[in-house]
Amino acid sequence: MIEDLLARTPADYAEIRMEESEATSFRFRGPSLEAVAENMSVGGAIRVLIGGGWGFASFNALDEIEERLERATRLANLAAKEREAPVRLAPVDVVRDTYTPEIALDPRTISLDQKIARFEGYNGRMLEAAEEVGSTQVVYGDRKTRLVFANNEGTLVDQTKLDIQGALVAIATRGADTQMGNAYFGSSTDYAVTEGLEESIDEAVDTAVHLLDAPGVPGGRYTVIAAPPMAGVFVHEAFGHLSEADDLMDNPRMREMMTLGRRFGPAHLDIFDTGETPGSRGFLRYDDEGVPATRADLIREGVLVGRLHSRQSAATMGEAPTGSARALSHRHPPICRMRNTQIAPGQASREDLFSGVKRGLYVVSPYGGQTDDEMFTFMAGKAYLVEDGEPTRLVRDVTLTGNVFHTLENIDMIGRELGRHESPGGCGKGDQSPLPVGHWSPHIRIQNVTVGGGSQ
Amino acid sequence: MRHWHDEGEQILGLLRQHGLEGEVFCAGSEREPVRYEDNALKMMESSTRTGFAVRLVEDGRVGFAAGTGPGLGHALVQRARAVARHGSEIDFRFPGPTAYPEVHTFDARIAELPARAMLDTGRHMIETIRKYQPDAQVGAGVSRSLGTVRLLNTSGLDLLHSGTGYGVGCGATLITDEGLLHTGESAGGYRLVEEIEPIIDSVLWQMEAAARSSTPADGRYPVIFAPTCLTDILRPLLACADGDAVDRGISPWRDRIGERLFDPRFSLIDDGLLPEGTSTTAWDDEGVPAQVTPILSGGTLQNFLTDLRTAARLGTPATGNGFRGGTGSMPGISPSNLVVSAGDMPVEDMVESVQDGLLVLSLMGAWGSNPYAGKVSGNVNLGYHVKGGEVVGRVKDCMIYIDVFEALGDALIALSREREQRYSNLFPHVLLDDVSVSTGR
Repeated sequence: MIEDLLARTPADYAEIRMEESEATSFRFRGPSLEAVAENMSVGGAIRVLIGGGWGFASFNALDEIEERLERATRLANLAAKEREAPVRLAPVDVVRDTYTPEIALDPRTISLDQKIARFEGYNGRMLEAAEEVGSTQVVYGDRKTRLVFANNEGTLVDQTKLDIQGALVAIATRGADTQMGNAYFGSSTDYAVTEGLEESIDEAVDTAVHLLDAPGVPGGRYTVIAAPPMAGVFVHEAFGHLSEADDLMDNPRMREMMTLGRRFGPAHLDIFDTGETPGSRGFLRYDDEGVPATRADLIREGVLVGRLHSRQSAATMGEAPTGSARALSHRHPPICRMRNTQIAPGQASREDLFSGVKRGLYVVSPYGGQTDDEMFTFMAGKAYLVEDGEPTRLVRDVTLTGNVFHTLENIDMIGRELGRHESPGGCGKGDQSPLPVGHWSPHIRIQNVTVGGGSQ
Repeated sequence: MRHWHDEGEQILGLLRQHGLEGEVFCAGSEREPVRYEDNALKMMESSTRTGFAVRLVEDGRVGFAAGTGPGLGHALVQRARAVARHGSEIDFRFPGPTAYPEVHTFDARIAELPARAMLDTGRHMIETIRKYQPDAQVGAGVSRSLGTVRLLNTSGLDLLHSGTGYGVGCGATLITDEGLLHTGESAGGYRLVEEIEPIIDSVLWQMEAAARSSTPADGRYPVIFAPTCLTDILRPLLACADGDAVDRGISPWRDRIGERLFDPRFSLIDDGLLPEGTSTTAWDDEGVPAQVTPILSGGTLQNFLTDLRTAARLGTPATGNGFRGGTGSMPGISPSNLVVSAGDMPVEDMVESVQDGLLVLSLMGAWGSNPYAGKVSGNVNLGYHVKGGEVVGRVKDCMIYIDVFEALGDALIALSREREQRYSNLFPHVLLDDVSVSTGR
């Protein structure tokens, strides 16, 4: 049916995405289970290109589809008149495929009763673990989506996506002081990631309780050793966003700064982004333009070698699409996004990473991050002071910041082992948040990181 | 005439058939944004959406299900009933009809606005900025929306509300030898924004003032927080005043109603009726009449914000702060419009009073700290060094760190006489002393 509509449109290019999803979510706050919700969503999106101008229309009522196609067409005609340089799209192969990932254990086959019972157990364990833990926040969510993409070039992709994610947060209170410790999970293929979280939640409790006695760190510059979950957020914020080519393509100065071949880091640094990591929340077979979401090398031996493209950004910059055009849902047009952004493992052992660090920070788990394409900041949920080569005291309120164009140069060591950590929530860009992404990474060591903190 | 939200009546009928108490929330909207990026039109968009949410009570427990509809009524009721087996025990009753305040949230001009007019506005902003700053990469956005909400419940409530929305803004990025400069300004509300020039002028000022760089050494400085970044400073206060955090015992303010926490010049009000506020409404998403709730008056803690559930648990009246993040989310506590008291110092004098300090327009990453501890730490995304009472240049690579609870108590130098209305906020400039600034210099 959607292919018939596409065949009739006079547009230079047209695509229709139809999306159907079912989701379950719930949350414990303290002992009580709250906000148990079942969500069902059906909707569609139409994007047409006429005379170099884009028109986009989304909808929920499926019987509006023809009317919405007309609206998108009218908007594209207006856009064509307004735009001087016509939008062009890089050619891609026609794909006709039905794809369902290999799902080990599908949460949609697990009853709500069983899901709740499991997390009730974890929640109870945290609440009983320590006197100081007065409250908790446990969040669980799963969503299964069937997405049909068709365009008037003949591509038809029918793919299923799964997303499982959550967080278990222990909240410790003493007087007016409240501190938190977190355990995270996420997967695109297996509900079993929710099994056996006892060890991580015990650690979360321990962190929350010990943070009550932890001092802040004085602001200043530090050598920072980042554990994999934190290094992952670091590479996402400090470099990943800069690779999104739709932010570069029409900006001549930015393109100059991001010329392929520019040295960004030391020779032992390799960074890439890929959809080809089943299990990661950034796992993706096809992007929202029907392009295979294959590996894109971004930095090789410290040098910029590639970026994340949509068909439009690829055509504008004369490069090849990378399957990085992603839309949060049918309500949004696809834009250039990360999938699973990784630092390739290096040579350093744990001993190497810490040795010689007189005064530094060991940042273990992330609490979030942000960038404006030049500066980045990210917050540690758990961090230790490093003194004379050893992590010593737990410290609180650690926020790190740096300049994306210079900070990679300061990565002087990369650990041997890749950490495959997944976290809940996702990435935000413009009004599209949270998009599931992954960031697998080894340990890394970064010199000269600015840390904000109250001197105490 | 048939409406898409008539399905709400059918769903309510199903609840009654099953002898269940409950509510049906229906929301529909039509939104058309025009976006310019890097000096060119990016795309023209149009979105229509509908959503239905059912919250019901079965055997004393709450169940919730939501969908985009239409035609999902039976499935939603069935799923909500399944959820109710695990739902929290109900502490409240769905409210019946009562008197609601009169508010204005509809501007017929927006409903009729042609796309052409939005394009003209966008292009005018781009061209004007580029006339003064030819090297700038300019972006602009204009959007209009029309939304309808209908709320029905088994206590006899059947409320229908339509509102319009309009937003307009522009921003420019300059790449210099010293790095990137991002600037931006926007305005919006239920009414058409006719005065575009002040938005453009603000962006031009931000760029001109940033033509030079000037970064102070590490230390403690007086800092002026502009209304554009005050939300970051207020975040810990709102977290602590959230009735749910109080109920759960994690708010450090839980036992402090009536205590003076801050400087007596500081007041913070949740104003659901603010005439130009974008969160202004006659009733919240649970059907509770909107109201004006002082959170802090004269520095003294007065009230916590509540929704129906939390109000029942705390044994206080609901403050009309039960809002939904979308039809897919259950109602939860959220501020409506926020108002901070004005002071007596003109903004100009405030800048002149600073011998060595900062003027901060926006922070990055300041949402990340633990709010209950009152700490706010962020990178100065756009801020200026003030020396001898004058803005001397833009600060770069600069982190600030404040204990908001202490700062608003002992370190509040002044609140500005002028306040700026921006979306759901009416805020002054706030001058705080002794803010920790790290620049690595």
